[in-house]
Amino acid sequence: MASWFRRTRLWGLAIATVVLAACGGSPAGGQAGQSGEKVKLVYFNARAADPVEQALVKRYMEQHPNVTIEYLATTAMPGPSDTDAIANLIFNIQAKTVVDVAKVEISRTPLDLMGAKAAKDLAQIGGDQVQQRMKDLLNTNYVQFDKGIWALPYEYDPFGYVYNGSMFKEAGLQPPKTWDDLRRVNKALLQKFPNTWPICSPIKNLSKIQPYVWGAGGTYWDRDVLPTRADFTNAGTVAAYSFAQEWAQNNWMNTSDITTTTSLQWMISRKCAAMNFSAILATTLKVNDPSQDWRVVATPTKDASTKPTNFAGGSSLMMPSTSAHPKEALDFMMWLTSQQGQSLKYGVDNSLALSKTDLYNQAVPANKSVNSKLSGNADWKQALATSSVPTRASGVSPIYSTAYQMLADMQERILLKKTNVNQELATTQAAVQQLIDASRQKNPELYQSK
Amino acid sequence: MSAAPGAALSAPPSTRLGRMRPALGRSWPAYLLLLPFLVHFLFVVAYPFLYSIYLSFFQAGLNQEPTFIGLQNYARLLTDVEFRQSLINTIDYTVVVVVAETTIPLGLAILLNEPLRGRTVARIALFLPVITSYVVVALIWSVMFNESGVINTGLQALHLHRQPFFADGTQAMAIVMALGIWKDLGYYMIIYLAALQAVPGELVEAAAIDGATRWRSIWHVTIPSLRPVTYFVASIATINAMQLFTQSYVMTQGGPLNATLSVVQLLYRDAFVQLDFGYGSAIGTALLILLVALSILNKKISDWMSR
Repeated sequence: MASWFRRTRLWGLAIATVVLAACGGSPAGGQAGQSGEKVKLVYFNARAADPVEQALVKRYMEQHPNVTIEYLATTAMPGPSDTDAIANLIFNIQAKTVVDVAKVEISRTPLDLMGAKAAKDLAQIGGDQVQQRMKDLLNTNYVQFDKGIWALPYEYDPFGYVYNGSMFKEAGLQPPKTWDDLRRVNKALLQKFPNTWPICSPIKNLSKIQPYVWGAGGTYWDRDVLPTRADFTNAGTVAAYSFAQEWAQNNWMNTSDITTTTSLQWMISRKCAAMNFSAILATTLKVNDPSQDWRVVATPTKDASTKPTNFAGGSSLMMPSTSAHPKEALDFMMWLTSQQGQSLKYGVDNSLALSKTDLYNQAVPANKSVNSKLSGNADWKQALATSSVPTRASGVSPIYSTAYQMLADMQERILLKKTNVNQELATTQAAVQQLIDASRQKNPELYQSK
Repeated sequence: MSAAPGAALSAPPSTRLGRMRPALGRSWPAYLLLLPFLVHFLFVVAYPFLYSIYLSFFQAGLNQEPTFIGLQNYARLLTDVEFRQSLINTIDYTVVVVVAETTIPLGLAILLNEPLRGRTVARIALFLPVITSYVVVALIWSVMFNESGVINTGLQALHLHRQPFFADGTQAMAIVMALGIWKDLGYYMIIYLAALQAVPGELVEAAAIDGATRWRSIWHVTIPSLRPVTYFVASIATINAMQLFTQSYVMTQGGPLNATLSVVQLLYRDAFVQLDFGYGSAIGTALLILLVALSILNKKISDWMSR
């Protein structure tokens, strides 16, 4: 009897376990929309600004009752999580999971995915409507290639020389416009504040040095089609890296790397007087430490005769090859990048009641009209201070991610080990050239002149 | 000679499957209970594991049909400077961490097995890091050790030089190691504590009667009795250490100058940033081979010591 009771209990437990195990959720996928009426989209946010995106998704669904959006987000933490998030998206595409719209970083991901045939050409889906929208947006040079449009710019992230205006005032200094100004400023700052780095820069971040390269008349690569030649040994690039090495040699520059979190800490703790960083940092600093006067100017150029050229990253909206509802997905993307969508996103229309912290956690508007509207706003003024500086796209190439890693490693050696600049640039150029050649062999059609 | 009536029914089944059948019948509920695990194991562990080995012989990228390239990915491993650097880093980390994680928790377990005041609090305090997220503690440590963090502020308050913890490769690796050791101490201590309850009391008493001091009793009775557990701890610690990823990824991102780049981090970067799944799989397979070799070596050493 006892044995029968034990066995019955065991069976009961087993069945309960199997039933419980079977109660898991189904994999993410856009299976809805089969009825012809309702459409279910999957929106994958591989960047930050979760609360804003969720509020926008909710508003879009209210305005479009026939559309349901499943919102998926990866971690919104700074640092390496951006790479994690994109890796997560790539994993989903590889696994053929339905993702209709993905918010990704703009400077490499759309073209990386285009090169891997994992992105849909928006121009093919939306035609003139998409072409027209591109005219309303900033940073479009990153996402157009081969007559295709591979993403819509969504958040604009121009860089600049972010500085603590209060410290500059104490030292009787004006922000630098040229490299000679910067040399003088660095010396004066170090003399006045011996425990402060006069200039801080993320050591392994290529994009923060690029405005110096361009501001010296240098280039990594330019294009009318994809670059066929790596060119890092030109005079401007050599000058910019030699100048950056000078900061390290003179003890003007930080010795350990900077993340988004430490950028705030170091500026607020006066460990850094100025930083090569996203202009939005000034606004975030103002929220966190209103006692100081946080400001932004364009990255100093080699001399007064050169006009500043900026790097601007940010986010874009792309459509993975696994999209199940391309037309409806494009409608959603168009709404997000429209004046209406961007006004909601950036609080020009504050009906989403977003907090300041949420608003400033997303760079500045990519929509030119909304960007211009915010420029008169005291809270946004500094974040938008470099929005009008012309930008240049860097690394438009299927091999850019690998080349970026090589260049970032090289930059780290130049700044930390103080290695020979000419030799480093020549070695890296040769290595990247090999990658380009291999890529040309693999995808010759991408390199044909149009 | 004919078989006796009923012999076919009563004779034991001759085949292996036949012999297993009654056992399987009796154990059905157990297999049913194991089913969720087995399904998970087959689809989430075994299949990707085998597929990864298969993929390591191919050039494979995103949305691309894999192309068979034989052992080329493995040949590339042999000449890849970053792989060599990451392997050296990982081995350095493993040696230090495994030695520390095998010995320090043992000492702590022996100490906290004594009827000391506050030992429960000490046990909880030591175990708390185990149940805290690796990412969270790594972020806290990176804030503590950064240039204007609490450690440098403390050093400055004591009129000592600030340290470039994350700018100096040796210091950065030391911090990564320290975090790994601190985080896992409690886990291995609990394993040792459990094992200490099974050390025969009569052996310890006999040693005491023979005039052994407490220290000699620990050295000659307690520690030898824990040998199988020490082997287990060393094996698990080795496997975990060779898979170093989270703390170096969060705190240093492999820097400075690749001083804390681990094999798993390199695998992750090659596969999911550079989209070279084939080479990433080859790195994973090489790590697997290394782990198996280390486990076998560990077992041999343990067997040799038990003789």
